[in-house]
Amino acid sequence: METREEKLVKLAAAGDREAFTELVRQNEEILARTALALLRDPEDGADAVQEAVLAAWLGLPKLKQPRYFRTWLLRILIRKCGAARKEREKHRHGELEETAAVEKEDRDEALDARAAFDRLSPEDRLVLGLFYGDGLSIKELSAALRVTQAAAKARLYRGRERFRKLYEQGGKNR
Amino acid sequence: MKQEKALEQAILQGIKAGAGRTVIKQAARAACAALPEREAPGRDRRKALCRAAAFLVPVLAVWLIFPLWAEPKPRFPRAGGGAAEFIFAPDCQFETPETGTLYTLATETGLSEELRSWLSEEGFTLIEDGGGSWSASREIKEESGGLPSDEEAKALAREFAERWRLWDGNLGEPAVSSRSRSGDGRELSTGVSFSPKIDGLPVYGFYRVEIVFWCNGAISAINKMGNPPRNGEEIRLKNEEQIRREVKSHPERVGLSKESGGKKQTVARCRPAYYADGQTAGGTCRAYPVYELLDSEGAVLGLLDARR
Repeated sequence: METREEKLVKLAAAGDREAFTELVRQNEEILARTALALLRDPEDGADAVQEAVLAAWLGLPKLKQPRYFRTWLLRILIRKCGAARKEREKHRHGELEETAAVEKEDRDEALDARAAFDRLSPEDRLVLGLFYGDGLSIKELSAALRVTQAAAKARLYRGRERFRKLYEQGGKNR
Repeated sequence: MKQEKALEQAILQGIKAGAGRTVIKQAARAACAALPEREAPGRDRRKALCRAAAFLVPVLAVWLIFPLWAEPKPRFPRAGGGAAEFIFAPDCQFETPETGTLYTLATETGLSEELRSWLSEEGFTLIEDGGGSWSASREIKEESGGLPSDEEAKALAREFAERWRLWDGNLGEPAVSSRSRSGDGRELSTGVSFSPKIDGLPVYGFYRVEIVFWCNGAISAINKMGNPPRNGEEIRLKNEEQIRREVKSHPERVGLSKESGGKKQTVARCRPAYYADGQTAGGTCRAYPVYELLDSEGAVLGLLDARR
């Protein structure tokens, strides 16, 4: 039985812009969350999402399995975010010392959930965001991250443990 | 357990508290509003390639399964291997009639409008090869439902062939001619072939009807190659001495089975048969008299043109 999403994907692949726009709207929350998890900066995230949407539109006719549209789109975005991070690191190399100083100062502040989450690595934020925030299954998570399901589980476990540590550390300080 | 739940709640708080999502969503919508044109020629080319593949794959499959010199029963799978050296057994038996018939085959596809409609409704891609041959195949994703047993498949194939009048004449007995399996060993399809005869003799080449059943029980491909003879002319055939001489001096003229390629083979029997070609340049299909060269166990070693 073909789902509505699969029908939209087929229409979009055939050139239907409205179908593609609806697909993007259906997935904009997960796109936004993923971009923020990886880049933190909304402006950078917006750029990456725009690039991913464009790449998805151009590459959609190559997608063989419409049911994997969401994970396929996520993979494109993750690649775009990775490229954006590399680019940003190049340009911000000179600012590292300053950032480190600010972060050290931050660590002395009380950590709430948001701060704990923000302190996680982009990869941990991504895994936790996709699993807890967007409800991806382990299978979908493994497809989006291009890792085995066992590796996806391990990453999820590690991310959760790191969050726990930071969150509990914040509780002690509160 | 409660601690784990609380931790998950905290993670969710942390995720949801992230600012800037609205900006990103707006950016996504803006990107959708300014989507560029896709390169139409490229897309068309890809589609054309896909269409070509959809046509070529079943055709190639047919060629691989039923090549030019394929034996009607699947013990003579393909030609190849280069010339072999043939010797004749001391007691080699020759059946060499003085004359035979060079037949012209009908070239109509025989596809009724009803059958065309049915194929279209059922999602088949139809390829008409000319010379009365056609192939229809479709992709079936469903893998449950059960592959029919060999006997069921044969009965279903006969019923289908008769219902749609795939052959104007006696089709002969069905035989399982192909099977396919998935990577993990599951049986995916069973092909049943009818190999009609001409003048009671086996016919090699483009001359059979095959119906393939998918593992959900439905038909996934139909290959109808050739047509019964329309008319024929009497011609003189080679005699024993001419056969012996030609096979020894020109082994390259013998159409070889895969097994006999490059090997020294002993011919124990030589008997008449037919070979039906595809469409010739003049648009005429013919069934030519040939001689089968067989070993002592009845395996076909090769075919020789029987015409003088």
